[in-house]
Amino acid sequence: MSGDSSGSRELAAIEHEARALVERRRYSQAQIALSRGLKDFPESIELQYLAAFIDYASERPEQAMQGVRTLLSQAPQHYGARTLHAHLLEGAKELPEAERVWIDLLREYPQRADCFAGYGELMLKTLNLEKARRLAEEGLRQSPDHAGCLYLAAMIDLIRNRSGAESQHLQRMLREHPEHARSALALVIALAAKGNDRGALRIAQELLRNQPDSQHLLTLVRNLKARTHWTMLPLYPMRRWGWTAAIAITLLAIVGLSVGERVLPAPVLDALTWIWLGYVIYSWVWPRLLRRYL
Amino acid sequence: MEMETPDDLLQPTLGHGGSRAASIYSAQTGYIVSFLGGPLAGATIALANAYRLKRLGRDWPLGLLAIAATVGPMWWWFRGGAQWVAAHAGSDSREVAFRALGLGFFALVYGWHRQYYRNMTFFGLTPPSGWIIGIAAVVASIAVDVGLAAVLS
Repeated sequence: MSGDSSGSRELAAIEHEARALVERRRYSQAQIALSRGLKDFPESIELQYLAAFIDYASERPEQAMQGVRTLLSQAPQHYGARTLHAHLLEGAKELPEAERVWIDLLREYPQRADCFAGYGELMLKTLNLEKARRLAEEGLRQSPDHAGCLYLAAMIDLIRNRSGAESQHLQRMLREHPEHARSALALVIALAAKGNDRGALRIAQELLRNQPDSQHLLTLVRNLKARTHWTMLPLYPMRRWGWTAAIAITLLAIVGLSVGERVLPAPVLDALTWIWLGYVIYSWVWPRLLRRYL
Repeated sequence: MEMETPDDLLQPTLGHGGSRAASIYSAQTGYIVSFLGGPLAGATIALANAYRLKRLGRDWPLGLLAIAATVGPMWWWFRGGAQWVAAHAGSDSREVAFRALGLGFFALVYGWHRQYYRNMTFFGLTPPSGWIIGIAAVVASIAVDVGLAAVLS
């Protein structure tokens, strides 16, 4: 009996330690604690969940999925394992299955704002903007300061708002959750949307320093680095005003060359035509090459 | 007080059969296709995107608009417009006007689907390859233009 209770105390201590390390994102230390714990308590649901979560957070989705499936076969109602399962299915592009898990969770936990945030984000990633907006709204009704729902609502504001960063949700997110990585991520996107790529790059680099394993952040930094590279200066109008500038420049060039055919000497016209063609090719090809090179 | 989740929010949106896409053809595909093939080709991409977004019911007027933007100027061109343009803007203006019309139509489509394009950019979503549909749209719209020209002239 006393052996059982000392075992329980030991398990509780290991779970507590591992959870604390995971919360501080010290995954390698947490992994050591978990390996030790799982050797003595292989049936512990909490330890299995934390191990799967670390695999997920460390971008090892296959191992994480395997861990979650094993865990769900033992504890099908485990809330954390189910949300993790939904995220993993989403990452594996099994989108209808991910949606089914979120819907089941929302039916059972209609007050959990993180389910609204998770499902809303899935809707946003599948271009179902209106449903994502309603889910964010509903989640914020349940929990007005929930970080995930505020992030979702801020992203929807940014997508809908032509001029970028005028988002009350973003301001609230930055005010209520300044320490949250997603606040910084939303700020990066808002700054980039407003054309402040250098400011966005500085914050994104800082985020990447804190999460060096994140493929998403790596891609974001690479894209922002490419956009702020000095060789992109000739493409500034397109970078700043997007397709409007591309249309204006194309029409200007076509009309200009058409008029030039009548008023300019042939060698000058040929040179201008080649310059324009070179610019067009440069604008299509160079940004892609630069992203690969960086 | 406990609040119920609205039932329609809990209805699946990404059903296996109805899950057409998590992304749409890129703005770059739309731009090039509209430039080379004019409004009809641009409308093909726009309506393919509308289908993928399951909003064909709302976006079908884009097709009508493309037909009007093709037939209207062509009808005018063969009813004295060609002479008027040649007198005022030069003989090669038809080509310029065709490109301008195509890009103008692309601008309209981009504005129409702007939220989806921004959504894709912000989340780094990869668009499907636009080569096959793009080439098919350009070739088909040029064939329709040639046919229309033969009928209207």
